[in-house]
Amino acid sequence: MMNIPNDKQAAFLQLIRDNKGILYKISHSYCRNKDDREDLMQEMIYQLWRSGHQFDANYKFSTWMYRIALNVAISFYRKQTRSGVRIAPGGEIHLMDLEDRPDDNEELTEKIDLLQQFISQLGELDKALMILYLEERPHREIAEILGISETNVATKLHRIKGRLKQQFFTINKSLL
Amino acid sequence: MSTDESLGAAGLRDTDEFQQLWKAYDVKLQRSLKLNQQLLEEIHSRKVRTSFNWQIFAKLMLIGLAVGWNILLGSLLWAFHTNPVFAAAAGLIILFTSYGIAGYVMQLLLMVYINMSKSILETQKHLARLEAAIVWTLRISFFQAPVWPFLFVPAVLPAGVAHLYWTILILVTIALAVPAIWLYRRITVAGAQQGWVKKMVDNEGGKAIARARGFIKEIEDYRREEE
Repeated sequence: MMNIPNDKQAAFLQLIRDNKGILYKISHSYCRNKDDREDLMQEMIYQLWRSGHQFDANYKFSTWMYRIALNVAISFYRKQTRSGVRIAPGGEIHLMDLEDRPDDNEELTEKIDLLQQFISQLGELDKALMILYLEERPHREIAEILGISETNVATKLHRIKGRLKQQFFTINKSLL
Repeated sequence: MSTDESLGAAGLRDTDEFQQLWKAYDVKLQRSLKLNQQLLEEIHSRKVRTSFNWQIFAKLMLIGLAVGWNILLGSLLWAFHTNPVFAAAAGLIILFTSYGIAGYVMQLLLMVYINMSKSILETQKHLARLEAAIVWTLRISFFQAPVWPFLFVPAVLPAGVAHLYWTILILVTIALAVPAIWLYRRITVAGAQQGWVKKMVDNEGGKAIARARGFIKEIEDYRREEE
């Protein structure tokens, strides 16, 4: 069972706070639309809560969390209409908001946007693989999360990185 | 210009710098990402309150109704088994309904045993199977329509009207068979991308059906490379 102490709800909310960045990045990779991202984040939070009893102590906690978040994101991405609890229609209040800070590096922001754009063009499973690679998860853990062999992880990553390199090359060429 | 030079010009020396960039993104998020605590608690409590799965409830109701219908039809079959036309029609409808019940039971089991914490390929394959079960059940349910008129054929027809009666019956059967066959052929994973068929499949809980075909292929490709 998942190690949630006496106050389950407080522990769960803390878990979400600790991992908000991951949920944000996954939702941004799978949904370009702001309202959809909001719905996806809600769905991931709900499924994490709901799946607490399915936590297998034989796996690392991060493996469990990535599996749920990515499974929800892939299923959600494939749906054409959403059924989430829309608390903030029109998108005025958001679950997560990224503050514009004056010290933000514009060049860095541009590169991140470019990388996000490339990731969003990948297939649903390749996207999951790339996110896990970027999160610096070891090949063994990526293999466990996806359900494929480590060799296959290495082969696929090599291919996707090659494609990304090529895309950077093409964009750069068009800018010159 | 080589791709490595291009990456350099884009500010990335090699592909591992994608990871560095992602890390920088993470730092930026840690610094600037604000989580709306109140909204988080509200979502959490609302979701937990509304976690009752209406889809499962609806399937259970349908299974109950279908079982009830089969019992009723079975009793009528027992009572009127001397009428061969009625007996054959009732038998066929019981068979189709049993197929439908099996389909709904399969959907129910697949829904109950969905485990989002299993590996991605395993869970997505499970979800794709659920979508296929929804389509299969829907197809079968329409296929029984042409048999229905035969339930109303009396054991003995009044003399002189038998010819006319059978002519009308055959015409009604054809009128029902044509759309039933058309629907059977239409309600496929590919066909479910179209307007009203999509709407019907959506109502059956298969909103993701339109993209399922491509996705099943993607899963198969992943597995093939694995082999």
